Amino acid sequence: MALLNETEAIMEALSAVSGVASVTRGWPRANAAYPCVLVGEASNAPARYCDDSIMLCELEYDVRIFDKLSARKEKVASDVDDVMLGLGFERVLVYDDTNADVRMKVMRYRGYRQEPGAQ
Amino acid sequence: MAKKRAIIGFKNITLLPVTKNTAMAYAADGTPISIPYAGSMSRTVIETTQELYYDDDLYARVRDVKGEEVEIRVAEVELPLLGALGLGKWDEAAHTLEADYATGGKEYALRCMTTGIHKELPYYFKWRLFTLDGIKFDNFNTKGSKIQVCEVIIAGTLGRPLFAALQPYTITAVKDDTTNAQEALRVLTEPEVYG
Repeated sequence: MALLNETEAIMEALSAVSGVASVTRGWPRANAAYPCVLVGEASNAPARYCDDSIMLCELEYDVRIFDKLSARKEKVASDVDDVMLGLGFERVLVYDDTNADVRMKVMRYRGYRQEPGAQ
Repeated sequence: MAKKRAIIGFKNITLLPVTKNTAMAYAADGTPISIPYAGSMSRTVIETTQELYYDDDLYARVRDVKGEEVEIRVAEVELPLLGALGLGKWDEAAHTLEADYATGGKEYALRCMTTGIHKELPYYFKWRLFTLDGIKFDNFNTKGSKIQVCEVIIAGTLGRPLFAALQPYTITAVKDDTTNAQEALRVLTEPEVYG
């Protein structure tokens, strides 16, 4: 049975966010253009069983926004949030993680999907 | 050594309308109604107990079990099926169920399958008289941090058929060598007629 994974769909949707230079699965390279977005699957777990089978899956995705400018990063984060809510996800957690060179905002989203093959 | 048979699952709820329930005849031969998305089934004994004392001591405790109250919880039931089960009238054109609180006490044979530690060795339960007392949606809750399904609750009473020769329920087990697996599966849907 196919495993649910919406990473590609999320990446495609976030690519349309205004001002985003790139959307990737991997950590940005040292010479990456900013702002860039990283999408990763954080969790994929059964949420509800019926008739002894998984009926609903709980999916969580981390969206990380990298930028050298705080104000621009916040604008992108707001647009990313709109896109993710439009895809049917709800925001679970947001926090800033900053080092000397790049500012990073981590946003976690959760959604529920019907298990493939569930009646 | 016989294989372990502890029950760890529950599924395939099926109702067969009882068309005859008299002292002379019993028939559960209506079209089987499948109720998917089984969640749980809880039962509470309906009983009266009377203690008899003689010579200043307990002489006997008489326990009379009338049946069981049952509550079945499922994830969802399609509206036309809710209407067919007696909750109301389904209007296909308006896509609306005109519902009432009571279901009218329809009688069914209730069958289901419970899965065991060995998936190929389930039990098949058959209760011959299930009187449907009510169907309702559980409490509504606003969305929170964790998903909470509003289940549909099907409530009723498991009783004894009036046909004296019949027991209230049966449990069919699949043999360790699974040679009766197909025959046991038919318990879910095969009609039963006596008298």
